[in-house]
Amino acid sequence: MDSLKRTMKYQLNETIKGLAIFLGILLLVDIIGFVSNIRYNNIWSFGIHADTEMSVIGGNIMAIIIFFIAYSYSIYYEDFPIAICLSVTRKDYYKSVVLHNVIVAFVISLFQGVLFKIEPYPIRAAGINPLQDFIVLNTETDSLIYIVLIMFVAFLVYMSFWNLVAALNYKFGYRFWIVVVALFIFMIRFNFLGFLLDFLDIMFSSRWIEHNLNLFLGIFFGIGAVVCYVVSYFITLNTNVKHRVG
Amino acid sequence: MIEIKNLYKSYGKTEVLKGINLNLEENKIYGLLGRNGAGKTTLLNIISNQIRKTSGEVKLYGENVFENPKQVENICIVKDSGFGMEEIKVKKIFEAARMLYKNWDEEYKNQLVKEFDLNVRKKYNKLSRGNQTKVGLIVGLASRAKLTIFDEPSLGLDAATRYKFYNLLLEDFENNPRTIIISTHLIDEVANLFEEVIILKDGQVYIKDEVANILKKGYFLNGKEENIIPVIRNKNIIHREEFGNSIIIGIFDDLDEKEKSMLKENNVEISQIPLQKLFIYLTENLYKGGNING
Repeated sequence: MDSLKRTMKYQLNETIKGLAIFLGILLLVDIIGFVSNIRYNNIWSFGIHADTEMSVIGGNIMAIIIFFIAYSYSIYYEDFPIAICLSVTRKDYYKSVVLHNVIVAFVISLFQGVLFKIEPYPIRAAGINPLQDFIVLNTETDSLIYIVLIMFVAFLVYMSFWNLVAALNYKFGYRFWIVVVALFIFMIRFNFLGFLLDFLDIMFSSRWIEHNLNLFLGIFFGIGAVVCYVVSYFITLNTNVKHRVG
Repeated sequence: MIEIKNLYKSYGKTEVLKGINLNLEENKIYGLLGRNGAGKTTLLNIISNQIRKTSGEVKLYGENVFENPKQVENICIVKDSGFGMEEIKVKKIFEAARMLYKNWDEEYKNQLVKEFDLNVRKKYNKLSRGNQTKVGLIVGLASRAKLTIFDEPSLGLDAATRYKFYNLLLEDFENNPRTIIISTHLIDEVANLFEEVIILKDGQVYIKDEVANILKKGYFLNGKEENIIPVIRNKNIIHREEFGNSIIIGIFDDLDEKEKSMLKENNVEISQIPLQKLFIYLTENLYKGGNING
């Protein structure tokens, strides 16, 4: 347990500064967006649009998506080699990674959730209708806790996927991408996308799914996240630190 | 302290370790020697949980080491290949070590940084090879891990820095005893540090003994062949050189006082084989031991 605590502390120490800088920049950009909307809304507007509605905070999602990719890669390409070389077991390291993912997903969800709740005020002050319906959540009618929960699950699922990709990439290097491209060509050649869309069509025509969309997506992607984390675990257990020769 | 039983390691079809059996005691300095490809680094990596074994047992304090945090946290390995991550400032490596090693001595690390005159603000990959080695040495010494392993600790170091390291190691060992394993090719330099030497050959333990005992059995016999051969007929000959009428024969065997007297009476010069040369002769396959008639 002591070893796990030390590993967590090490990983948090590595991430905290980067996360703080990232969220700081995001907040600054959002504030600049709000101010510029209020000041210049007859010339231009800063944010994502849907008909006559707009959201500045919704635009953060793209940056967050990219952050998670970079973060997942840094877990394997930067933190993993140092940790293993400095006598951390792979099991402890991986447990720490998952806990770390949970913390990072929660912090960013809370950050986004709070900003989503605050956003309507500066948007309306700019004379614009705030965009609040994001299909799986509504920032006007849903509670902060619900918004944070939905985003937390979505971010964790997304991170589990990139955690797996980063683990595979670290272990197999360029060969991983050769397989990915080959699979992609295979899927196009055999119209896999067509099959997938047909399957999704049948699935979403179910009444139960229609009425319980969030629950269904939560279960579906939740299972996906668990699968990704389990596969990543076994990959990590069988990965050695890569050293540059010479 | 460390028990290794029937340890095998293969990389694909290549068998690198072929049934290693070894027991290492606590608070001793061991030298691990072997030719290139003998399996030294592989053995050390398995002991320190860096790589998986194919089969066999590696135990530390009676518990299996592999993926056992309670035992792995007692081990520090300093590898010649670095830390696997080079785009990192040296001070960040030390920070990570401080957080991850339970017995880390920050004050001692600061002393060592001054002693080795290391710029911790530089990135690891911007350091010279010798300075990169110094980073590893500082981590190894300041970790205060109960089992500390140095794999090729002298790479890129000048002679002065190497001797500084040996002195620091001995000084710290006296004040804070721990088990140390040093794998090196500069055998004569570090022979005085070792209490016991393990020689690996072809993936197996060839010799494991105290340095004094090994040296006691290594003799150069310099004289006329007809004077030497009758005495060493059944000895383990490991080397032979001819110089005109004389020959130099190296043996790895016991010589009792009577045999020594007989040789000296026949003007045969007897001297000790230095550890490095002894290692070379023992691990060469030209003379496989046995007597000259067999």
